[in-house]
Amino acid sequence: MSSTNLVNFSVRQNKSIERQIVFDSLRELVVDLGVKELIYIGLGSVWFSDFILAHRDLGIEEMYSVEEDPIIYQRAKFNHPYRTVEIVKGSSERQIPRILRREGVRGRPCVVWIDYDKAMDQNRMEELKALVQALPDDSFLLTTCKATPRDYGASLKARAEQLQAIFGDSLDGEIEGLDLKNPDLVGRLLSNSINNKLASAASKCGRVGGFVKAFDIRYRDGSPMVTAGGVLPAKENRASASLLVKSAGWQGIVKDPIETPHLTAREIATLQAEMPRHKRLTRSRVRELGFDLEVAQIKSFQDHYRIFPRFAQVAE
Amino acid sequence: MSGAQRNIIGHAAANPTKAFFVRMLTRDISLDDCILDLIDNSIDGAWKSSGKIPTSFVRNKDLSDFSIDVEFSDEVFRITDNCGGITFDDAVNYAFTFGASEQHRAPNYSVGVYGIGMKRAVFKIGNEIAIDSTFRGPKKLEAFRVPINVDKWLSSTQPSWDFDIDELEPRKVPGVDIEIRSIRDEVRMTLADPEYAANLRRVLARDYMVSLMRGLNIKVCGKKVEAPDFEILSGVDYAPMRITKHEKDVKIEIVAGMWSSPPDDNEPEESGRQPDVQSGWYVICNGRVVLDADRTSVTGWGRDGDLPQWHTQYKGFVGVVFFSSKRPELLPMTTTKRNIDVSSALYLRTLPLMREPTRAWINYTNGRKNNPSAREKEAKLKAVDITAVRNSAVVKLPSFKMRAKDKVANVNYTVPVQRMRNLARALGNPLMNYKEVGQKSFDIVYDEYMAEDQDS
Repeated sequence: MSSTNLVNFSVRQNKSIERQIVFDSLRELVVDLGVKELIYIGLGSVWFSDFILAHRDLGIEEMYSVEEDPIIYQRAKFNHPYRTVEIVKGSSERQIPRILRREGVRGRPCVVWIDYDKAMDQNRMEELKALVQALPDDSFLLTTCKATPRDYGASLKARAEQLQAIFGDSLDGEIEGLDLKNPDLVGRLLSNSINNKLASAASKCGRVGGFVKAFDIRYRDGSPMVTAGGVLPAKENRASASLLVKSAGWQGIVKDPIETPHLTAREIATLQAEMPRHKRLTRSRVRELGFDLEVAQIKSFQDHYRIFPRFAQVAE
Repeated sequence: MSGAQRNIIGHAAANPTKAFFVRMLTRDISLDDCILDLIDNSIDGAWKSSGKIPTSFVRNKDLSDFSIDVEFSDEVFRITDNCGGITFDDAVNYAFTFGASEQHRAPNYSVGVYGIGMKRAVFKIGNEIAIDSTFRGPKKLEAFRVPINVDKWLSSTQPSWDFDIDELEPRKVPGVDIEIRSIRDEVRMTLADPEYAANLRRVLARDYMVSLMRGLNIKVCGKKVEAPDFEILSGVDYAPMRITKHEKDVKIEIVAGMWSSPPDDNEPEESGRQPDVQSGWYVICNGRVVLDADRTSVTGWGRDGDLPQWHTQYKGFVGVVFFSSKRPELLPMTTTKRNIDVSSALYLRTLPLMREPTRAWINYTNGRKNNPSAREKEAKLKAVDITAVRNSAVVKLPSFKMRAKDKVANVNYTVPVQRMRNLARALGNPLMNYKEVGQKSFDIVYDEYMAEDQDS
């Protein structure tokens, strides 16, 4: 069953924060590299949250959403947010390369975000590697996948073997001695390995500008998830892209997982009134304010309060 | 022509050009082989400094005082060793000449014969090069630097091709540091590949197995290259071959036998099983592997109809030919040290010695097809390190009497790869090959539906 039927993508708050970080970062890169006439390709489901940001924040008009499920496809056609979003029926593996070959699309830089709701596997990695080869210069490629350790094998041995089979040398020994029961460590390993694999694919297919890692985000609403990706710059843009993503203010690489707590409107307002602050908001201060949260939750809120979403139920 | 009066009317220009060495020769060699060329020089220095020679497989600590560190990013490539350094006289007279002169004799038991490796390697990698050497002078450590800006050197109109040698403060231990910047685009792409370091470590572990077994320390981007296991199976009715032969100044040692059981089917390697990167012939010259896991006519497979061409049926065979000589120019390796000079008379005389164990293995794999006892015997074999293989003129393998085949049915059908992988995962091992998935699922269904049935 598609996760569209299980989750309303627009109300997952940590997903929402992750998505906003991605598009804020993409905007910086797009401006820095001077990329024009971008195309957005994604898996919009029936919610199209990323498509709305692509249009609002990046000004992208031409967009393609790929949908394999026949019923979701019909719903997506009904729900598409702009007239310039085309819903393409089929698997992303088959359809995205076809879209890239279309007259009017061919050669134009793209933002492609393969936002899976499943674990990474060899087929998905192959799909991403093929995109590294097919995308024009100054394109952006991102992917999201589940980081639940059990999804990579029931036993620790099977997990290690499965990760080795997917990533091979891109693990470069990082798996040795790693606690593969820990979702955060598995998430880190996944995002590093996906980015390594994409960089390796760029080298192996002779992309002179290579692949510049720009995204490494772990977040969790239910299952732990990771988003990895970067830019495939033209040769002359490589130095500029590298400099930007290594700068202190770069947001696309998030050190700690985004795990903000579910808060009431009153709690959000109370915590927000303590911001901005250069020092860490302490748990004792939160208690002074009249409630309590875990230290990690307080930190996550402080890190992301500026883009913390607010959801409201508008009808019973 | 003979007897005719010569009347010379001019001279056809035949001088080499700098561009030939920088732009042309570098096309004939891969980045891996360039890095190996630089490491070869370090290892030659280590053997020379240790006073030991690479003439056989031994595991000890002869080279454990020596280390070679390779570091790289997409901006800089660096190799550092403590293997003795290049002396000032050697730098002045031959280390930087293009091609070894007739007067120069390669060091004993070295692999640096042709006088081209280091220059070709650094030219291939980048434009701004600094080669530093610290060496033992008559009284104390001395040092120098040879800085090379390749583009400037190429565009210089000076008739001399010489490089400047600069004064330098010596390091604490003798050795060479080579640093290369302004990395060439095609090299930068490879060095930027996050998988390259792991791949290079694997290449070095294989090609320098002889030196690593003697304790040499090599690191790539901070991670150690481990001496590989190199084992051959031995037991009742099975024993590897080990022979030694001398031809003038060259010692030839051959070890051959079985490293794993042959496959029970001929399924192509792409079908989900681990690729076989180990089976085949290895040729070693003065401690350097110049041919690995070879299954081509170069090592006899399919050569002149004498032996069949390689087939997955023959997986499990391994053979090593170890040439060593104090006169490296006698050894049958090419300038890239990545292949055999197949016209070498020495090598042609060695091929018949390699043919015998190859033929024995082919016969064995044919015979075992219908003899289940072979699997039982193979299961009891023990792995013996290559250094401990005893002398034996032939490879010992059981011979089987052919018996009538049981009637069998072959099953062949097509399913989507993802469904096959899903089923493998559900059966408990996502890495199971297709045949195993088919066999296991057949067994499960057979047990379920035919529980009372007899296998008849």
